[in-house]
Parts: sequence; C-alpha cells; structure tokens
Amino acid sequence: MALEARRGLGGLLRSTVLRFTLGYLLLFALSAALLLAWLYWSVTDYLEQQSEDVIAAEVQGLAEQYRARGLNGLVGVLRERSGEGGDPEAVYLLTDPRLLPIAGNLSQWPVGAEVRDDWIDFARVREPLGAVPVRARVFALGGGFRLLVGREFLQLARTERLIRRAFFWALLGAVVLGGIGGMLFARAVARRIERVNQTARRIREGDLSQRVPRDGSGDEFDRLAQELNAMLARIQALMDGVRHVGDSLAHDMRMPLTRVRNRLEALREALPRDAPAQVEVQACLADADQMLATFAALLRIARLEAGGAGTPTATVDLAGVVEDALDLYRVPGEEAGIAFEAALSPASVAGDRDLLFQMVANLLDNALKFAPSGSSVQVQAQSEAGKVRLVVSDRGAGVPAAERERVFDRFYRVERSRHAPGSGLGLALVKAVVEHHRGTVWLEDAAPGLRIVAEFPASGD
Amino acid sequence: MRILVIEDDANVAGFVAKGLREAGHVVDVADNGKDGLFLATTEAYDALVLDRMLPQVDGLTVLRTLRASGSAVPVLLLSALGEVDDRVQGLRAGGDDYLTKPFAFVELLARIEVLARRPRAGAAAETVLRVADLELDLLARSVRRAGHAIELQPREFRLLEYLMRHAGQVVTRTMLLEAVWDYHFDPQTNVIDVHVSRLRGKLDKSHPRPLIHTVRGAGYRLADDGA
Repeated sequence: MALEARRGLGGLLRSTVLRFTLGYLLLFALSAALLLAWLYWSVTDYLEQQSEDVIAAEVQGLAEQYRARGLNGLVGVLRERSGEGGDPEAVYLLTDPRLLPIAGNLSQWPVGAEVRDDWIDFARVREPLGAVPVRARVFALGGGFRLLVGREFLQLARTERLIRRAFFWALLGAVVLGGIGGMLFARAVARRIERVNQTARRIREGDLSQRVPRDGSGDEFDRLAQELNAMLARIQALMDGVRHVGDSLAHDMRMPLTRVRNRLEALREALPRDAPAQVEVQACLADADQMLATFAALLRIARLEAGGAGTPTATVDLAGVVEDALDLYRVPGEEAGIAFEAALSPASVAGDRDLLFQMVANLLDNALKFAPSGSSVQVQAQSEAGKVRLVVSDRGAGVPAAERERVFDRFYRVERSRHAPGSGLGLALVKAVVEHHRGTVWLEDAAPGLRIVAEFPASGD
Repeated sequence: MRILVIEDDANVAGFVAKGLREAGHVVDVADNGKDGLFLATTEAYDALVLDRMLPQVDGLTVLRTLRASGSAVPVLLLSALGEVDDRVQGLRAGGDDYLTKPFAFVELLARIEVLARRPRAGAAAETVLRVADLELDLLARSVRRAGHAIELQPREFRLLEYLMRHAGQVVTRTMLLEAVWDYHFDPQTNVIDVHVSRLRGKLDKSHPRPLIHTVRGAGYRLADDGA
C-alpha cells in the first residue's frame, strides 16, 4: 500500500515525534550552553578577582617598601622579584617620566597601554608561551615616575580555552546523543502508533474483531490502547446488536408470515377459479414467498457468520460441485443466450457440499443476471499451491472499484442493478459460505466484465 | 391415508391436521413424544409427521425407538433448525424426509403423499415405467412416447424418472432439486422451471394430451388426466 511506502525517511521527517525531539534537543543544547556560559563567566570572574587581589597585595607590599626606602629601595625589591627566583607570572615595570624602564621584567612600556592610574590590559611575549595576556595596575609615583604591577592571565586564558573546548564538546555530544536518542525515541513511539494504525486499517477493511495490542505496561500508550479497545468493543456490541435485531426480526417474522401465506393459500383454494380476486391473492402469495425467501437467506447468513453450522469436515470436490451446478444452470443460460465455459480440474476442499453448491449456484445466478445475451461466462475451479480457486468471470458491465467491497454487504446493490430481480443477499450468502470454509472472496475487473474469485485452503486428501 | 402428527406447537399441529383432513386424510395428533410414541407403536399409520423438539421424549428418540421396534412407517421430520448437520442427523436417525419450519403447507402435503405412497422395500423393482403412452426403460435408458423414441439428456432422464415414479402426485420444485440434483439448497430463481419446460417440450410436443401439468402454487404433476 501507499501508506507503507510513506513510512521511509520522508515519513520520519514528517513525524511529530521527531519534530518534538528536535525541539527538545534545541532546548537541551541551549540550556547546556547557558550553563556553560554561566560557568565561564563565574570562573573567569573569580580568577580575575583572584589575580587582582594578588596584585593588590603586591602593590601594598611595594608601597610599603617605597615609603620606607624610597625609589632606590623599590628598584632593589623589583630587581629581586623579577629575577631568577621570582614569580614568573608576575609583571613589574618602573619607569622614569619619559616612560623609559628603570627596573622590572618588561623591556619597555607596553605598546598600546594607556598611561594612567588605573587597571590596564595588554599582552606580553614570553617564550615559549608566546603572547600572554596581562592585567596590571599603574601607579604614579612622585616626580613623574610610574610603577606598573601586574600578573599574567595565563591561568585564566587556559581556563577560558578549557571551558570553550568543553563548551564545544558538550554541545556536540548533546547534539549527537540527543539526535540518536531522539531518533530511537521517535521510532519507538512511531512503532507503537503504527500498531494502532494497523489495527484501524484492518478494522476499516472489515474485521471488527481486531484489537490494539497491549503491552500491559500501563503507560500512556497502553492506556490509549485500552481506551481504544473499550471503544471498539462498544462499537462491535452496538453493531452486533443492530444485526441481532435484524436477524431476530427475520426469525420472529417468519412464523406469522408463514401463517399469512398458508391462509392466503387456503383463501385461494376457497375462491372460485375464475374469481377476479384470484389474481390479487396470487400476487400476495408471490410477495409473501419473496419475503420468506429473504428472511430465510438472512437467517442462513447470520447462522453461518455465527459459526452455528459447525466446522466443515467432509472432503468435497469443488469441481464436481461446479459441474453439477453447471448442469442446473446451462439450460437457463441457453434460454438467456449465455454460454457457460468451464475449465475444471479436481479440487478438494474441506466443506459442506450443499453449502458449496448454494455458493456456486448464487455465483452462476449472478452471472446470468448481469452477462449480456450472446456472451459467455467462464467458470474455473482448480487447485494450485495448496489453494483451491473458483473463478467466475462474465462480460457484463462489471462493478466500479469503489463498490467492490460493499457488494458483499447484506442488501447492498450496485446502482445499475437496482432494478434487476433479487434480494441483494446472493453475494452476502456467497461471502458467508466462503468464510465458513475459511476462504476469501473478492471481485476483480475482468476488463470488460466482472471476475469473482473465491479461494479456499486445499483439503489434505 | 391415516397420518399421525406429533407436534407440541398447537398452532402448527392445528393447521397441519386441518390441511391434511381437507386433503382427505385421517389425522391423529399427539402433543408430546411419549403419547406420540405410544400411538405410533400401537396403531397402524401410513405416515408420520414428527417434530424434532418435543416435551418428555424428543423427536429423534421417538424415531430411533420406532425404528428399533421394526417399524418402517415413513416419517417426515419437522424442525426449526435448518442446518445441513441437523438434516443429516435427522435422516440418519431413520427419518425419510426433512422439512424446516416455517414451511408452506403444499410442500408438506406433497412430501407426505410421496412418502406414504412410496413402494415398500421388497416390492419387485420395476425396470420399465409407464404412464399412458409414455414409456421409460430404466435398463436401456430410453424413453418412448406413442412408440416414438425421445432423446433426453441424462439429467432430463432422471427428472422424468422421478416424475413418473410419483405419477399422479404433486412434486414441488424443492423436491425435484433434492431428488434429481441431490443438493439441498435455495435457488434464487426458478431454474427448475426451465428444465421442466424443456422436458415438457420434448415430451408433450405434437401430442394432444399433455402429461406434465403445472400445479399452481405448488409444483408439478405428471398424469394422464389433464386435471
């Protein structure tokens, strides 16, 4: 079916579940990004704060040295601190009023750095690390001398890089894992929904006894299945009720109708042969007989559907039954200008010969009704690959594709046959008999004409 | 003929008894299996109409007891159950014919008369059937009327044989289908009429006295009387 084919990639993309999953994934990635961003800001802020605190402490120390020992003392301390044993991340520079270095571990006033009493940021080159960011504080000492005290932000830069990398991997991981998870989730959900769809499809095709399979987990899908099944059970009960009313009506009407029929017969016998009322009574009798026949057929179908006729066990040669039925219908066929052409080979089915004869008779009767005069009707019965097939094709007007399922319904009649004689139960009875024999029956386009195919499981012997 | 009707439904029993009496038969009615069995074994009847579902002793038990006691009286079983299995079961128990309720009275009358007048077992088997100037040879499979041979298809031959065996009696369409085609089914159209009219064409063509008569509302009758 087309429905099946649509369940490929296209179907997956159209799936609500997948869209939901993608949306969820986006939200997930966004929240991961927010979390990492917050982490980034707080960590860098903390590190910056720490560096500034260290610088502030150092400045404090240097200020004391300056106050106690003057400029020379400061130079001494700076030389000592920026020497071999000093902190490699610490940055010092003391300049004269022309910004020429006096002491410290910077060779010149940093390029681009402002000359003001404030925090400044710049980069210095330190092998083997290359350009390293530095944060520093500048102080104006007396006489135009300036002191720059700072720290490399190496730790901060590393942390930043680490967090940025973590950010990238986390996002990638979220997308990949979320994508796979979402796909699996979408497929699991789609599979469970598809089970509901399948059930619905089978029900639409006519099997109202189908139920959505449950897994007993009690989750939302299980509860949905439970509710749907309860609804289906209710619908089936209602439909059975309607059918039951129809069938019991047919049953209950039969007795009084038979009495009416018998009284009419007595009335006809009592009337003089040439009484004008004879015609009327005869017409009433014919109507009563028609109604009784309809009721009888209706009850027969009902009983077959209810399985009341027992399971067929005898082995019957369907070809022989067809042969006998043709024997009965060839003569009426000749009268109507319709020739039956048979292709029969032994075909055993487990069944009931009277019911099978009824089925074949109804099919032949149907063909006689709809085949144009002068045409032929093909009848085939044969067994092939464990199946027994009965095919009746005529060259009549056929049945429009849209109506091919419905012609098997009780009282359903194709528009153009509405004026043909018959009760509208012939094919319903055929279907009931076929299904009683565990077979299937369908209509095909014989182009032109109608082909009715009934298929049964072949009998073992 | 003397006929015993064993039926507990007073309605059905009444209308069957009334109809049979109007057709000139003597009728006794029993409304339960016990009384029915008593009457059937103590009185001599030409035929029995026996309902399957009866109070006290059910129809099939009555039938089996009757057959076990050596009675060969023809029995027509009545039943509300129409399924083939029930039919087979009824006939196997010793029933001679089976009729599903509701039925048209003419059907019951035709069947009971055919049953009651059936030649008893042991009677010499006829090889040639004759009605007026019509002759059917069962061994040679040939048919002649007024000395002229008539060509018949095998099924037409069986149809004529059945009609001639029950000459003078009404046979219904269903009876013909059951006897000649050996299938029990409901034809949707009167297919059997086409066969009978064919046979009639071959038989009665160019003969002033028709032998096959249509009985209005019932079926056919082969006879020499023109009635």
